[in-house]
Amino acid sequence: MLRRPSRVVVFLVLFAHASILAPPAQAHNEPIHQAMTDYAYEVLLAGALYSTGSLARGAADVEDRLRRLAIANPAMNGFYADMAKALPTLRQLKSGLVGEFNLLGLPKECSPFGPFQGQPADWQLPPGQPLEATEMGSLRFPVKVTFGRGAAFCGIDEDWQPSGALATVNVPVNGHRDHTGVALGYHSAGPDFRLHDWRMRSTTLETLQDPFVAGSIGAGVSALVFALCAIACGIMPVLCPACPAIAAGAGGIVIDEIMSLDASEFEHSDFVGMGHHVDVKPSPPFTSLFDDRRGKFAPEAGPTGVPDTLELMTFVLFDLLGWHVNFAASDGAKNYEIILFPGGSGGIGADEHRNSINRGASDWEPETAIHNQFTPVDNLARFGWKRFTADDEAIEAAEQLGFSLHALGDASSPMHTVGTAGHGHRPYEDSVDMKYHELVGSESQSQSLATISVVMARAFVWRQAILAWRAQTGHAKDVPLRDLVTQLAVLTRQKAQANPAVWSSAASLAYFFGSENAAKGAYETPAMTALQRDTIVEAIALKLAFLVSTAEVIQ
Amino acid sequence: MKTRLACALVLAASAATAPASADPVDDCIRSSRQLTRTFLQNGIARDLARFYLEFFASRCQSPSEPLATSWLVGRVNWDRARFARDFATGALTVEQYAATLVDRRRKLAALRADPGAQVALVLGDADLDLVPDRDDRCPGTPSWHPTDRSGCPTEVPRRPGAADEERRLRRGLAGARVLYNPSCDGAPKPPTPTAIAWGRGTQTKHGTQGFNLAVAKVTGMPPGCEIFYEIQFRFIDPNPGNPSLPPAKHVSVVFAESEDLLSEPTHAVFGLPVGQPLSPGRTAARQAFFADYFRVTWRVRAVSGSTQASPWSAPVTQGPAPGGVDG
Repeated sequence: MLRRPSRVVVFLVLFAHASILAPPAQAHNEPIHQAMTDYAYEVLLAGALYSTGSLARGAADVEDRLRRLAIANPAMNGFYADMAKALPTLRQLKSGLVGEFNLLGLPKECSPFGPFQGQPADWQLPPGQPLEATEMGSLRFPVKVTFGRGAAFCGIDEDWQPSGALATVNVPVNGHRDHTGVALGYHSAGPDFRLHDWRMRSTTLETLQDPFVAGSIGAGVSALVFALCAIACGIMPVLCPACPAIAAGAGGIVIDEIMSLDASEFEHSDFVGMGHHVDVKPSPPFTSLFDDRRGKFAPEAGPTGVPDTLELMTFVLFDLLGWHVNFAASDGAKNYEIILFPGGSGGIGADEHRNSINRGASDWEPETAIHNQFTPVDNLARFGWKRFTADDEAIEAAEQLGFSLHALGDASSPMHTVGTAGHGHRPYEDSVDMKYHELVGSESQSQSLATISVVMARAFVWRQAILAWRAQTGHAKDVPLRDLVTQLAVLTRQKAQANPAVWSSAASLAYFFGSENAAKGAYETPAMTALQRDTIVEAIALKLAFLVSTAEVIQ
Repeated sequence: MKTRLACALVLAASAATAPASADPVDDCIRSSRQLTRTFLQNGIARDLARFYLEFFASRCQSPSEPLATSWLVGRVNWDRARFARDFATGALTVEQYAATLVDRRRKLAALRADPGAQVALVLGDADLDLVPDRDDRCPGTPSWHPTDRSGCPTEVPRRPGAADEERRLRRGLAGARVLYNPSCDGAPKPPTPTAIAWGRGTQTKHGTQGFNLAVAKVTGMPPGCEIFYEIQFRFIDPNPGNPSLPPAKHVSVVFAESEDLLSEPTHAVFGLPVGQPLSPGRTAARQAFFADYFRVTWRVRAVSGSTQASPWSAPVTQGPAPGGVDG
């Protein structure tokens, strides 16, 4: 009955292709969320220290840039002063970091090649104070996004230092740098790890497991198994063990060995991203059924509303396997429906943004999940914000703030603004990940200073928008998060539309089938690099303005 | 669909309920599966069994809806499953499959708003185009083909570049293979490794010289569940002596745990030996290390034999390790 490829066969195949299929995850890779947030904090730190005259001697170049910005726009001094006020508030947030432990329950050892030489990190915490309750400003070490989430070593980022010229701003005091930005960044990557957000139920698997319907397998059919598995494993690696059932769905064979997939409730990291889009392309009236803007809506995914071939393969997967949202088990279906007073369902909320229209199981479950309109990522931002502001002294506060920061990061990715898993999504974002430091100029003093200036100038504009909104609405202790995420997405999409080569279905397909150079090479042109830099810097700027405004809300 | 079948299904649907439990929908779907099995055991075709299951599932998910609505939703889900299968196997082209998605979505919306048409659909849709026979002026339309409201075929929308995409897709699917190792069933997701260093060095195990890559070793997998290290490189700083080189080059390689040149508990070293034939990816990486580029941004992730992958490590940008990397 065994229909799986033998191990020997697998190896041969693997090395013949020299590549395995990579899943088209639907979000920036987590380290980029962390890096963007950290960058925003480091610039905030620069502005704060400039304002109080506390910049280190080595930061003369940065100081000169900030001074020049203030000469050109004297209102910038007020912004710097606001940063100085925000700084202690952000540093006082509890880290929310839960440690990385080995199988014996002891702190995990660090890399033998780094400064810790294979020893665990000594956080030097006061007696009785857990790491998660330690203030961010007191953290001795920077952490990677995998800290506490399954790192091979201790999860300390031994290579970290502030980007470019910002290293002259955030200098060690009492033996360590300020790691608030890294910790905030850690939490901004958090929503990508929320596997309970979207859980699926399959209507088919158990029945098709029934030995009664088992058939035989021939050479021709085994190729089919491979082809369908290629789609399944490539898009959702968790499905590889279910390949036999996929073949069954194709009407050919059934195999009764599905070991690790619970048909009624299963989760996967690639489902998580389905709530991380906000589709801001123009769409006909009344086609966004549940929010002012749709989140991911695969039937109209992409810049023109036509799903590309990779997206079509996701339809194959969901429809063939009968995957429906399991409403009861999906936190996202409930959490990211934002209905605020006074408007209620579908009305205008306290943040002056249109609320969601309430959906229940009978709205989410009947069609396979890929045909649903998912909640937009601005709702995810507001979800965390609501909880963060409800108790900013809680150990979980920074984790909640991470939702808002994450959404701002996602809104800077063009593919998230048109709701597509294809059209170059994965290769574009991978390309950003691999050249992030080039984009922000980490390795060049002059480029780094230029980036800092642009971030600061753009952050000022976002900050003015927030202040104007507060003055206009009287909501002095709030931030219009849903508006901000949506506006950033609109801006990102506009920039992408001016560079239509960014929408590359061919790159997505090449990436899916393992052709790295063909896929990512599409984003190595000067125009694409400029677009990536522009969108990343815009998101960093908005994060900076947001952090300053956040501190005011909780002060 | 035959009327008598519809009657059978209505009877079956009312049986597809289960005692209340923590999740009544799950219970209901479970009992629907059992019922479907019974149908299969009584000789009903698998294709039709899938329809039963979709119909029952729809009933379980929205028990307060009229039966005809559950039938409609089950029909659409069944249609979509068939079209997905046909697309995956090459029986439908990219354009045809895309057209089915638009067609069924449009028809589902229209039929949802028309209870009379829903009942008519239950009573008969011989050509399975989701237009009730009552209204169908073009019987015999292929089930997948988009139609207008009277069931007559409409044009399949053209997609720019569809032929190229079709060719790439089919070629890719034909060549794709899946990594699978039953020993990894139930294994945890592998932890994230770290890219440590690269450089020239000896490869004692093979008695060769070449370029070696050191990564943090992933442990904790069950016996026999081998880990693979997928490494992505973005080579930068091209050799100015070769102006034809692009400013950056992407290469991906995969190493099996068994190729580790060392037996250290904490880190693994993988080699790209000089002077030996290698796979295309490794050859490209070796050439880039050896002569073409001075630095590389690289990252690594661990993939188990059931293709469970760790998150990618944070990318690091490095020149060759000054002291080399021996393995």
